[in-house]
Amino acid sequence: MAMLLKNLICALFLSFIAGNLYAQDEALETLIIIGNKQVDTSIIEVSKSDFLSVGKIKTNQKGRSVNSYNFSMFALGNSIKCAVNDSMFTTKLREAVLDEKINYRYINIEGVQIIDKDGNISIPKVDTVKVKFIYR
Amino acid sequence: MKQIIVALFIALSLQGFSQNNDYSRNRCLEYHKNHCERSTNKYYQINSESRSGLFHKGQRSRTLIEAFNGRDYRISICHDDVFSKPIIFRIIDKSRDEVLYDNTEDNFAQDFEFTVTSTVELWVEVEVQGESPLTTTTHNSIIRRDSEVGCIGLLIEFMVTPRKGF
Repeated sequence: MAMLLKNLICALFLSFIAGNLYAQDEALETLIIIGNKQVDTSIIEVSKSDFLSVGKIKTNQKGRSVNSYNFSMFALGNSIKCAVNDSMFTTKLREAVLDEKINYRYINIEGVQIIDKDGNISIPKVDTVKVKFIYR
Repeated sequence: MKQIIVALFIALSLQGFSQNNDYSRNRCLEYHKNHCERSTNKYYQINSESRSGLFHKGQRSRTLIEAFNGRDYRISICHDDVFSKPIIFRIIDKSRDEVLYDNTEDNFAQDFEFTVTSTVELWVEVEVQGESPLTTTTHNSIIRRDSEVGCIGLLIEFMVTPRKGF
């Protein structure tokens, strides 16, 4: 009986460890999607219209969404830095991207955090990316 | 015969090594053209105001460029491995002495792209992080060549800003 109990505890422990490792691995494999591009490198190139077309930062896994991110943009004599507690693009971000006079040439998306349906927070495989705007 | 070949091999190796570390023979000449990564945008052309130079740690230097209205510019920095920390660069409006861009606020980005809407003269200031060997040696003219100095390239590219519509 004692032996059976010991084996049961051992099996439970092992399955707990395996489950945790699997969950961690899955979280690390989560990729964010910006402008319909899965982000697996630290620099991507998209047009401004493609970037704004989705209107948010998505993920490649069901049940996981972006919980928060920071963005910054730099031009000659102008800069914006902002923290966003959402996956959606803010009005400030949209207006900055579309500002033809300043014509920001890139946006830094930084420190992206993912939240799953159980409320667990994790980070995607690439959580900081420089999005360069290409002309169409 | 074998000894002669070995001796010749060592002599050639040493010669090659000495050439690699010889900063007096214009090693930094055209460094920006040979080492800096070009933009993926094929419309960018190299600006003649691009520069290369020999720097030591702690050194700061600036060069003047004229940026014209209606153009996009891309400024990028490349450097020898001897400088382990990213190079700092700033863009300063000459007439107002105002810093318009500082890469320390932009994650030490080694390239910066911007659009110019009115012609302006700009200082591009480059600063190498680290303690200057000039402040640590007793003889100001002596710089340890191997670990303290290296080439830095400042590549400036430009293109006409694409217009929307006809």
